[in-house]
Amino acid sequence: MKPISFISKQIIREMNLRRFGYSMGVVATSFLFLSCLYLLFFMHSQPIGSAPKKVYANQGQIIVALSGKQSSQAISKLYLSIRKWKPVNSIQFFAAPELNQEEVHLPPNITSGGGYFIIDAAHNSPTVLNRLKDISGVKSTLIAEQNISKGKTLFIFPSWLKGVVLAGTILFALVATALTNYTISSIIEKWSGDLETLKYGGIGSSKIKIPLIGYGVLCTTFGAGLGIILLYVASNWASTNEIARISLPALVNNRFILGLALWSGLLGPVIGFLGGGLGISKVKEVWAPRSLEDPINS
Amino acid sequence: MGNEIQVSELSYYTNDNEPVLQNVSFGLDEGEIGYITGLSQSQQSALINVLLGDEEPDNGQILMVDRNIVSISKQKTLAMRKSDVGFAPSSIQTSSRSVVETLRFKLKALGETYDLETKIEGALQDSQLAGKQDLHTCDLDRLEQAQLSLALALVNRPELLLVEHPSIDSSTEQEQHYLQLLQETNNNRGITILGITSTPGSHFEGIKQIDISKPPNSSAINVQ
Repeated sequence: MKPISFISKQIIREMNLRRFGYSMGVVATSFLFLSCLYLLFFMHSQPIGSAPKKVYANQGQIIVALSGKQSSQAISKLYLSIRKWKPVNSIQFFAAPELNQEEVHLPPNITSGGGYFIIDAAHNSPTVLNRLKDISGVKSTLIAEQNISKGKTLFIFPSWLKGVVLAGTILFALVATALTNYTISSIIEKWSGDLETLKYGGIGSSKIKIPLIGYGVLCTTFGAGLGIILLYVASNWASTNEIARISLPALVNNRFILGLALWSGLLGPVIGFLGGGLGISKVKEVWAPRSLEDPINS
Repeated sequence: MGNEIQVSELSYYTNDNEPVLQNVSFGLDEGEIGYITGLSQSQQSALINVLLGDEEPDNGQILMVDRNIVSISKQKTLAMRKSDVGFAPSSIQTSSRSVVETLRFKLKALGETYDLETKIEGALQDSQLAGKQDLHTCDLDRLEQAQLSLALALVNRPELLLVEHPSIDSSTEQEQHYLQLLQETNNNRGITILGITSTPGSHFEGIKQIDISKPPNSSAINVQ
């Protein structure tokens, strides 16, 4: 184990600004690769379409904003009188605080502090709307142009964005691998005069390869660690943010997050292993038997 | 006094079954110095590969420091190179390290912790690099590089030294100086030295010459 320990110390001792820059590049690109990968997973696990959980007003229904400061008896009386109108199929009352609390986004010209009636009058909505204008206690009315639901807050990632993130994931994986390769190669470049000395001194190539690949793995694991921290920070933030919670439900799924963290904890080192494996080609070259250069029987 | 190196009926073929070394036999006693001559470049490379254990011969035995390296494991061959068998290649890749730093680097990489400075001093004396220890290896001339290669092979005090003849001009005094250096190391240390060369025209005065290009039954070993 002594040569491995010595070579490991040499890697740290001979660190210069250029190699430190490469190493930080490896950390950064591994982190960015995993961050893009996480985003890709969350996009993929997003519910298809808006999938509203609760529709408050269907398209064509009448939204009636009531005047503020009305007693419950007055609202009840109004409710019963409208309910009796022939074109009215159904009528529902929603208290203003209920809708505000659930972040139902009503059109701005229909806000009310007194609550809402949602009236279903089938094809007679315009007739009902005209009658409502003369009723006391009604502040404003509107025919819903589209479904109004809680699900309207869901943010859907456009497919072009998914494509960009996928391309970014592949790009950062390649750059992280290439930078690891370059970092290891630059360390070996400094040792080009020493490798043969080590070989002829009886040191097996694995004693050189292990610390070099280990360094690459260490850098990418560090990047992966930062990615995992970001994942948990995002998960905590999402648990307090309604839009993020609805738009990216996997982000608040603890089991999913744990699985993703463990998986990326393995993926980071794999990138380092691949890049390091490419970087040690010079070591393989030196440790290979000498080629028989000239023609046989020369 | 026993054989420090004994190669018997050694054969090595390429993957295409072309013969490179055929039925080669030679030996050196403990404390002896000898040079294998008459090799082609391919034969030299093949012989170094099998002597260092980098390649397995197709036939034959190689006894070095009382071990048959053909039958021992790769790990044991490496262990032998760490302590018993030194190898000085014909050229070394230079670096920005100084001579003494290069020697220290090798010893530390091998895990040596005791008497480092004494060993380094001994290797510098033997290779006649004392006084040049602070020179950067990239500033050394070809003879000095060959001396450094020798110092690196000697620094961990092996019993047997394999020397690949350095690529220095055989017509100059440099080669004589180098061969003299080997003889002095052999005399002073009592170390067995086997040189290997494919360079024609060298003058190995006082050094046993082993010409393996000749068939084994026709006085394959020449001693001058």
